[in-house]
Amino acid sequence: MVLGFAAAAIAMLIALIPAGIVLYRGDLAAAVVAFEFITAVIVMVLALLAQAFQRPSLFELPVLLAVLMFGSGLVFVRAVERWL
Amino acid sequence: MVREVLCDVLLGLAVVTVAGAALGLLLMRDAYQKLHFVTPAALVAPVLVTLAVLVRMGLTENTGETCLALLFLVIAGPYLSHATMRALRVREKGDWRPGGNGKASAEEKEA
Amino acid sequence: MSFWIMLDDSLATDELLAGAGAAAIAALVAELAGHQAAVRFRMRFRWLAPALRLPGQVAGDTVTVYAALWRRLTRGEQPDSSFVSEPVCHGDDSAGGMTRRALLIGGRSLAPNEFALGIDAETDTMVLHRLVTRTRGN
Repeated sequence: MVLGFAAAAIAMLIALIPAGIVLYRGDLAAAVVAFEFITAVIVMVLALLAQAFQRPSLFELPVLLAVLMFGSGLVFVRAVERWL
Repeated sequence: MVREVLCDVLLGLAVVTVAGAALGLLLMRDAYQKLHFVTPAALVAPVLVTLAVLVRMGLTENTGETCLALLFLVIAGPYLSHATMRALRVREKGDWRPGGNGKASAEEKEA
Repeated sequence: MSFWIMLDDSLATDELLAGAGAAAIAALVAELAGHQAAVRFRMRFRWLAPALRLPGQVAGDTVTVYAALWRRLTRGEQPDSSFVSEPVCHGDDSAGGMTRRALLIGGRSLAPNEFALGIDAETDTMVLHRLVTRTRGN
């Protein structure tokens, strides 16, 4: 296991706590922004964990999540603009 | 040895970038200001992580997939931020244009 | 197709056939979506030349944004964010015009300090939101 990548992944997960606070306590607009932030960081965390553990099956998940993040973000944004 | 140190430095910078961005997300006043702190986490930090991965592991199939994931973040990020900012403005004022009278959003809602 | 091969990590015939099918479906959906939205794409490579300035702009704006965060932390002062308008040629609704506007909006939204909301066709202005509003000139 490459410790540097695992340590960076854990540190980034801890850095998500303020974003979680905004997601929970903020209004709808702030929550959407926090959701986008958290998703972007999770993509990086998954990429770092895949590099740390060097298992081939782990490398596909960050790619898929990065693509889906764009789509899901746009769905929330559209909902916020039109219906919520 | 040098590669490992450089990799650790780049990862440290990425972590500091994300931590600072998270703090900015918490402390800024409104959603417009908070959105500006998503970009460091969605653009700057992934670039640093990509560089760290390339420095430590070199260019292999697995690192190529990691770079691809981070490339998607970099490409999609600006357009997602643009769409979010515009949607928040339309939700608040009815139109994203200054002095707009909500005509644009009304036409969109009819469609 | 290349994305499928990269993820699947196999050059077996049945995997390639499945990838070709998936790529065909994706291309069909992309064409249908573009047709429904009346969006076309036509790139001119000289439009990418200003993109060479983007890395420096991202680095500079990152410093600006974090400096604003530092001022918020140490002195409690909120950044003087605002919506601004800048003159920009809207252009026509041809494929080239739409592509140019999309690239312009993406390029102006890349750096952390400002995001483009859109380009107003009636006034030929681009509406931006800046976290730290700089005074230009003088």
